[in-house]
Amino acid sequence: MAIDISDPSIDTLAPTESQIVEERNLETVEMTINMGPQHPSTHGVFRMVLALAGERVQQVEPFIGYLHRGAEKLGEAGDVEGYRKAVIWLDRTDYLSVWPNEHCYMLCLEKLAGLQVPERAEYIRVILSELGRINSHAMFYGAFGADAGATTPFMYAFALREELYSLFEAVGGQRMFPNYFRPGGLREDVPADFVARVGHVVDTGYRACDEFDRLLSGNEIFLARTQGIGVVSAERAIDLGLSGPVLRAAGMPLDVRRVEPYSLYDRFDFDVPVGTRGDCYERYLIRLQEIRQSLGIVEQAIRDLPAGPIMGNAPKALRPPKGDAYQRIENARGDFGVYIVSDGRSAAPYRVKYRSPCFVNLQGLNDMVVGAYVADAVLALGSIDIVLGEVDR
Amino acid sequence: MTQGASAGAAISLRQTLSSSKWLGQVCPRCGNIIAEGSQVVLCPKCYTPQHAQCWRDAGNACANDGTTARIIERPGRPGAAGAAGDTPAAPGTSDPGVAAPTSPAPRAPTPSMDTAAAAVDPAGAAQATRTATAGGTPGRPAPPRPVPGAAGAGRGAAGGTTRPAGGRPPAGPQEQEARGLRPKADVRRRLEGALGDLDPQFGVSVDEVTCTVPPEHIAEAARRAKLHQELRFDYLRCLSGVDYQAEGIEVVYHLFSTRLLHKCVLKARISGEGESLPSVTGVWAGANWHERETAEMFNIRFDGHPHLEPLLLEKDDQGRTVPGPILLKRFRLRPKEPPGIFGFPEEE
Repeated sequence: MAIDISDPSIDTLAPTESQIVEERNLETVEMTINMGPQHPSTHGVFRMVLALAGERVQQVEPFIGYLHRGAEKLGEAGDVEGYRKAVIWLDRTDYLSVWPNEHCYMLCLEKLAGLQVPERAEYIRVILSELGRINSHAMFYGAFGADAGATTPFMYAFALREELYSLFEAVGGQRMFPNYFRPGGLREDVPADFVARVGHVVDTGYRACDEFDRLLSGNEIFLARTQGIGVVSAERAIDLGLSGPVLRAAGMPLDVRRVEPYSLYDRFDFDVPVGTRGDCYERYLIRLQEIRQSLGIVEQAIRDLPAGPIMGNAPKALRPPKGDAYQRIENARGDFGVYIVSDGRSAAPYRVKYRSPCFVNLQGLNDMVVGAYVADAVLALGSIDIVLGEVDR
Repeated sequence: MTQGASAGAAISLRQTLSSSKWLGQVCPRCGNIIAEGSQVVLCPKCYTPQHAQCWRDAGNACANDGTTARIIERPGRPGAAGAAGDTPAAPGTSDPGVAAPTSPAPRAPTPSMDTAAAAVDPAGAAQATRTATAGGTPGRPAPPRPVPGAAGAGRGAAGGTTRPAGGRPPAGPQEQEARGLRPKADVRRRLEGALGDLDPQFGVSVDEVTCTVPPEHIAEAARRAKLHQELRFDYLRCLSGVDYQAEGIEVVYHLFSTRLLHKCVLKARISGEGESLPSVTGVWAGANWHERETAEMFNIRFDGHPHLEPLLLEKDDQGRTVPGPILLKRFRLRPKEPPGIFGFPEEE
């Protein structure tokens, strides 16, 4: 159940309408402060240098690279079956929702090599990708609440995530980095109770969504802290290359699953939530709504899951023909892309590039933060929903 | 196909390529030279190469020592590729030493495997057992190897031409249309109309049109790509660098139009590290960080970039990145490979 914030009976604290609070010209001092790379609110090893006048941000300069591991270069390593092995880096870029990235790499590789994937494998991939999206959005919910000062939502988010991680461990053998997708299909079939477990997870997910909404979405402190903060206009967002909930909150209904359908997404009935004002609150609402839509996709996929093989006719030592291919998908954070260049002979990619959405989305930080309070800077950063493994690779 | 008698061993079909180690060796069953394009199997025990059909004719057994194994038949599979980096077997070193040659005469390379298998000399087929050893019989002149299409030494001409077909599927990924977006031919027509005077060269990257322009024109091409009313590429999907070593460093711009719903790829190639090309941050503001990362990783410059500082790599006191650029191919993580179509430099 969503909260209708235009309902006049919901009393949000609006300072401009109060009779007590007034703006006064106080003498302020200009200072430069450093946030990060160790900081509870920077969502990882991320550093911002803020130039402040009093509490208002005049300039922000982000510094990234603290989690740079050379994933793109390491994707070229591997003298045997390097194409299959490069997928471990896709796990470790967006480590919160692992599956969409694995999916993207496999789709790109299959596009380049002309591999066919059986239906059952593709359905399982879609189910796991959507569960990964839910996993990431639940993490966002917990962390965003913590950024705003509410510590309880974090526990509720992780209760849902624990269910998901147990399922991922049952399917892939490992909670966070399962390394389960293969060119042409999957490493092995899902366990026998997969359908029942996913059904149980979906039920838990719907209940959790209601809980998330009840906890935070109408909380007046939360509303005061997130409404009107971190606004980016749609034209500026397109120019910057923003994607995902950040772009959709600004009003552009671009979801790669709709605009450039990949895998089986044109078979499923789901909505793409779009905002109007582009502020943090709308990004939060969009992500919560996306959890519900993802649960709907998982339900439809589980209902239609066919029997059959889970691996196509991919050769074990895959050598795609010489050429390049780019595949993009809708990550939890936006438009994730993989660009593979193959020289036709090597066992590993000649070049593999990961276009990560939060790397590009972070360029919007300047627009969102300049002129706002420091506390709003924290929330604006949280609403972009960065994961440093993806930003830095 | 008939399955082998033994339950244990299973061997793969192998396609003979110009780089295969067994090219030019003699099949112990039929006595013919194994030519490029033929399907062979290697005995799991003595590793003698023989034609796949000869293996089956011998009852799924090796004609050399009688080891039985079944061939893994995978429908629709073109056949396992040969091991990478093979140097062609030097004549004479691994000559199996044809024991009783009735037709050791070299045959012209036949591109289709059916012809090779069918050209079995009936007299030679009667020689079921051979004393072929890996060492070869000293003093026996080596049968001349059939010369594959490209003259001997190279892996194909420099400049990235495709390898001789030899029964493999065509080089280059299969083309397809992008789902949900404008077809490639339409996009190409629009690009030709808008960028025609910038000396573009067109190609296809599976499901999108690629357009390579000279590096000095890339800013103008980007501007037109964004503003031209038939193109309207307002969204820069991705900006990557690729190091093609002797052939230069290529900067690849993946574009998308949110208005007209089509996509394309612009490419610009500069001659090497240390070179520069114009920045496109004036066209798409989002190119800012992409160019910073590409510049630091490949040691190139983007002229006109507002703040071309290293982004991901650490800087030392003089502002140079520490360590040096890491995505240049010469910083090798892979083992040595012979000079290839990209003109890899010789490893020391």
